[in-house]
Amino acid sequence: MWNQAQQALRESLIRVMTEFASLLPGFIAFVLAMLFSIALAWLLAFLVRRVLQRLRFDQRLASWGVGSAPAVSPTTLAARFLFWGVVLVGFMIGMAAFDPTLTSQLMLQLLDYLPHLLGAGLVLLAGSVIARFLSRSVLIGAVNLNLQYASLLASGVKWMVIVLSVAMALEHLQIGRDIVYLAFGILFGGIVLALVLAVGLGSKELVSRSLEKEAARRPTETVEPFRHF
Amino acid sequence: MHEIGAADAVIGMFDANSPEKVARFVAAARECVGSLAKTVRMVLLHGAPPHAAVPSGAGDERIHVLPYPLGEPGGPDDPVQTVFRAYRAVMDVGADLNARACAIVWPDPETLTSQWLYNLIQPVLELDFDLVTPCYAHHKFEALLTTGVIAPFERALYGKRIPHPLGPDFGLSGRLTHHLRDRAAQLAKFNEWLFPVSEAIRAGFDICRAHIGVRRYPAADWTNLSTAMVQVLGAVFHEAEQNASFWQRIRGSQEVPVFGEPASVPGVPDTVDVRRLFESFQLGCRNLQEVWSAVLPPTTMLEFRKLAQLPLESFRLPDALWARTVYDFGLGYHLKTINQDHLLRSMTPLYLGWVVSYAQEVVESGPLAVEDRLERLSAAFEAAKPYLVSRWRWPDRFNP
Repeated sequence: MWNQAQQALRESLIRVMTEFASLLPGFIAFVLAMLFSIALAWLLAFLVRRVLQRLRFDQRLASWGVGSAPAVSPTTLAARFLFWGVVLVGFMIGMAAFDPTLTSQLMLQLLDYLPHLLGAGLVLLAGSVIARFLSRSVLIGAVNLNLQYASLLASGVKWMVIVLSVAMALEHLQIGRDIVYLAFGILFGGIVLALVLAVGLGSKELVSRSLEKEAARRPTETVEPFRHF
Repeated sequence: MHEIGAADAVIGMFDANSPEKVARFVAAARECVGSLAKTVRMVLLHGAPPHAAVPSGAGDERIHVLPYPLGEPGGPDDPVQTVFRAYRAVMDVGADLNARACAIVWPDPETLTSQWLYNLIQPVLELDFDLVTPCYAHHKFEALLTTGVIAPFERALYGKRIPHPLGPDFGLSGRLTHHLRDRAAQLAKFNEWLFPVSEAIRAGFDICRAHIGVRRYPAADWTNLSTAMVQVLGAVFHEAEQNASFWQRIRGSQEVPVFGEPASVPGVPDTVDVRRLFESFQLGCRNLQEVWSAVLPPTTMLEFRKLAQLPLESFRLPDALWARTVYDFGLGYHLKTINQDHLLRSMTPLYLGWVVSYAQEVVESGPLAVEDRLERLSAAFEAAKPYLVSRWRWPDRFNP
């Protein structure tokens, strides 16, 4: 019996070592693919960052109304996106060394989802640009009209556009459709209601004082001596 | 025009779109022709419809009256571009007729006199000047955008003391007309505008200014002030962009010869209410920090924040600060740091702040004191010009 136990142990060890030996090339290929892709990703990110800095990418986007988070500039974001994209490709190449069918199934699903991803990205980018542009237009226009609640109006417009674009992006990504519709409706309606209440009721006195001041000024405007050109 | 062949002077009157206005125009021109030392043949262009019953000048061989499309100042187009198209129209006719003098006039028909036309073309016809710029008579609270921004800005850049560099009334010699017409044709390919004063200065033509009469300015339209600032200041800053290589070499300024007698302006107000303007300035300082910080350095932003907290009675905007601010906005327009329309509209509260400061300083001042005050403002713009030149040449180094 002891001999049989030894035999069983020896056979299981051989099986495990054989399995491990069969996986080892794939594992080495995976590590090599990752190392190579990380090096390539770092190089490409460096080059892209230099090119975008030369082209003053951040300043051009700022002039078009696309802002950046305080810590991350658009150039850095683009470089990081490229870095992690290349690393992801390297990861998938490495995974193919283990099981070719795994990556082909993954690739098919990813390729099917890619247009939605790109569409959502474009919608978010366009929404961000439009939100900032409209917000700034409303802010400047309201200040020039002497409206005391100018920044409130501008914030409201900005968040309405952002909420709308996020909802559209989530719909593109096919994420939680019904709940997104509901949340969007509540948020958007809430923002509009908040603006209406702030302007119509909550700031009633402020608005009526502001409007009274404007109305009271109108008779004197005709005798204001200022002529600009 | 084939029948006319040639003329000594071509005058186009903007906004002469009714028989009554044309009649006044013709009467003033007839009196002007009689005042000149030598007999001249004059062609008058007006915008009244061809079928309208306007005086033809018949019976007076010296004057020909022609309908010609000069554009409508109150039309839907940008008024600055409308005026430039009118200049081109008059210059085209003047060049075709080989005129020795051209003029474009835009007076209030009630105030149009023969002196207005005479003072624009006499220095060209008899004293050999190439460009006559207007000196309008107006009270101290009129033409504020010109006196507070455009005139000192143009004076510092181009080195000539011209109180109304954007006209719109000008007298041009035949030489200058041909030069400007060729230049306008070149610029039209790129949809660019023509600025008679800066073009004449760049090309070395002789410039003078003439007192031509009282100009009435339209009442302030508060809802459209920012739109007007975009149109007018946009043209001024665009001109500065086109001529950057020229004005950066100029230092100081020179007086130009002046002709005619200044007219007196009735009804000068001795009290003003600037509270609304000051509130606009304060509202801008509270809400537009993010927009202004794209073009104004932190020190300027801090100064404006401090000024906004002052009581109205002690509010005074220093000339040096105002000059640097105008230059910063001009530079921001050139670099397109933010949308140009937003940039110029956001300047409106700052401009109104300057108006408040100026109005409080000169409310009890006479004409000589006001002139002295504006001279100090222009001197501040000239003194701050090195600041503009440095920032223009090295924007990254001085980037706020």
